[in-house]
Amino acid sequence: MSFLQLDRLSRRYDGVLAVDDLSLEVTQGEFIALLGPSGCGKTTTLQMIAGFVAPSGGRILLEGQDLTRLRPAQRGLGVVFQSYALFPHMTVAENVAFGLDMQGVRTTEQRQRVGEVLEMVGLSALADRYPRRMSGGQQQRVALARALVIRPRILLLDEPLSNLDAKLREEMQLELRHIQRSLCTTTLLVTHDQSEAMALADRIVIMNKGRVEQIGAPFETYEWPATPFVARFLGRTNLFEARVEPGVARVLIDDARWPIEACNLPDGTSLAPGAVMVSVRPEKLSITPVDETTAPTRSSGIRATVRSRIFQGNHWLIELDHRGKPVTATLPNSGGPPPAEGSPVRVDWAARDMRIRSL
Amino acid sequence: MDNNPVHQTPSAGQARQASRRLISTPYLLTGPALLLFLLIVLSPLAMTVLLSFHDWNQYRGIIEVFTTKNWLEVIQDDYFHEVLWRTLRVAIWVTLLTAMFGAPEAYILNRMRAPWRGIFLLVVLGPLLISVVARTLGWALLFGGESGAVNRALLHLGVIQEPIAFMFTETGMIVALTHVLMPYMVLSVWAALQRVDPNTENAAASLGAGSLSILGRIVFPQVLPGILAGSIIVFALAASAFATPAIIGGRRLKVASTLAYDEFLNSLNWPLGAVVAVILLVTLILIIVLTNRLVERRYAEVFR
Repeated sequence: MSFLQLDRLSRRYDGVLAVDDLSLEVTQGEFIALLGPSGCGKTTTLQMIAGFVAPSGGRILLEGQDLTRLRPAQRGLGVVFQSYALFPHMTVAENVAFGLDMQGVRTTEQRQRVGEVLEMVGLSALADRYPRRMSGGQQQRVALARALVIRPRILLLDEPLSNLDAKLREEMQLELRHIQRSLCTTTLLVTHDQSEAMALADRIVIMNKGRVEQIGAPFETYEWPATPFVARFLGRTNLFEARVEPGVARVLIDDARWPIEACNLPDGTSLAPGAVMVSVRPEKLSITPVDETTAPTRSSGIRATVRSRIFQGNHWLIELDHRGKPVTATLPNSGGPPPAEGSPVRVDWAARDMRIRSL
Repeated sequence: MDNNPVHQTPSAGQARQASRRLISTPYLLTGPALLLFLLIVLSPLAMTVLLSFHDWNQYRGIIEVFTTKNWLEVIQDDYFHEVLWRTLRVAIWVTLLTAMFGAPEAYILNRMRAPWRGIFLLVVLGPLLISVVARTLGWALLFGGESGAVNRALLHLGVIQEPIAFMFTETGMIVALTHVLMPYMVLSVWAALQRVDPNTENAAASLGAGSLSILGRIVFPQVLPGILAGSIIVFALAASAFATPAIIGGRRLKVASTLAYDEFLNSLNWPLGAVVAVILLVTLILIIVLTNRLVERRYAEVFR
């Protein structure tokens, strides 16, 4: 049986479904990211688990116990808020000790556990500071320590890193991952940042308009997006109109052909001949300059023109023009510069890197 | 600051000059207003203080000599002690009552949903749009002796045998002043509540706190500066209020402000009135400054 189970959870605000029939099973110690654009219902889902928002329908089960009607105080979950929500009138140590105080833990044990958890987040030296005198990153650690000290059954993180600058965010991601692994606390993270979700989570739940679009491991959801929304939301992708040739398992774009492989299609589906949509990630494209003097060789991809190239340090971002439609490619910065702007190129990719969807 | 003089570039002198100019700028900018303030606020005050040391005689009026007669009279006469103590007592009660009712009122208002919040905020602040005199006379209409509406109704219903004494009582004065000054407390606590992250309540709940613990240990400490700020405002206004004590207390039950008024305009003993006014002013300033300093010292660390 799963550790945490969300069973057909929904929440309605003034007739609008913020969360629509959401079901999810989480195993103990798992790190789950709820990912989606703002307004997709991910935060509402988290608040229903925490108990701040009552579901309009469905159940929340934790270790078989029905949490749905319990007050937040009875659930024993740790929550880290986007705003951190530290108690400004208490010192760091008092903030962290608050939860233990509420549980009636003895003062000596309180002091010891607060010390331990502050040590873990690296704030032992600042135990007597007030939160308003601390940096965003430090406040974030206090919030994490305060949620972890009560040894929560689940740790809920609501966009915890979105108020930090990029460098600090990366550091905190590593640290969060490390802490979560060492404590083995089942964790749910709400985020709109796909790279954060992929860096941290064992599984990602991609949500849109209150519904789950896909649940899967980061690599899986990136490589085999279940819906066009997921493909677009997780990184960029290029879409090509293509045809499946009758009789042969091949897909045709312009005059270029690729064999269809099993991994091109969602599991257990097949394709009928006719018009299809082919999707290829920018980093999977290879670009070769066209030498106008020699005759074009067959099957070496589609023709396009370089519209612009932007240097981004470790890679080049190249905008191409293919029959008036934009195509994006990223090339690793491995030596010489890519083809100049305005020059004709051939764009190719390995057959296994494309995803085919019938129209 | 750079300690090594060798590193000082020629521009350091210019920079110092510029910074000196920057320091003087605020004084120049506030200068005109400061002059006006000196002219129309401080000079009458100074004149009042001077006036309190002049002599007065029923036939000759104010006599411009230096005497401490008025001060000694106020300091020695029990009648003046009683009035000053009553002023202080009334102000303290009004402050306590507005805090007791105003703070929860602001909290509840803040928790209300969209249309009701605006409507009830208007209900709370609405009285500010009506003259203090009208609001106080309202109380007089309800409780004024046997003819007051509430008293008459209760008498007829047999709930009470005698009309509730309201007019010319300290209780009446406290009740009416509390009503009149409530909006200031509500506004002050309301402002403090706007700075409270509502998620701190959720955070406390998730850590196992019940509603009472949340109110007492999370919300109350965070709005305490607002309550104290509101208390200072209400205390100052209650101690110096004139219209309400004048209507409810009348001639029989005087407070410092009505006493000073009577000395000025009825007895025409301006120097004695000036003494009362100066005592009221100095007491208020002392209490307010000390309280404010206390509040700031206690909360500077927490709320920057």
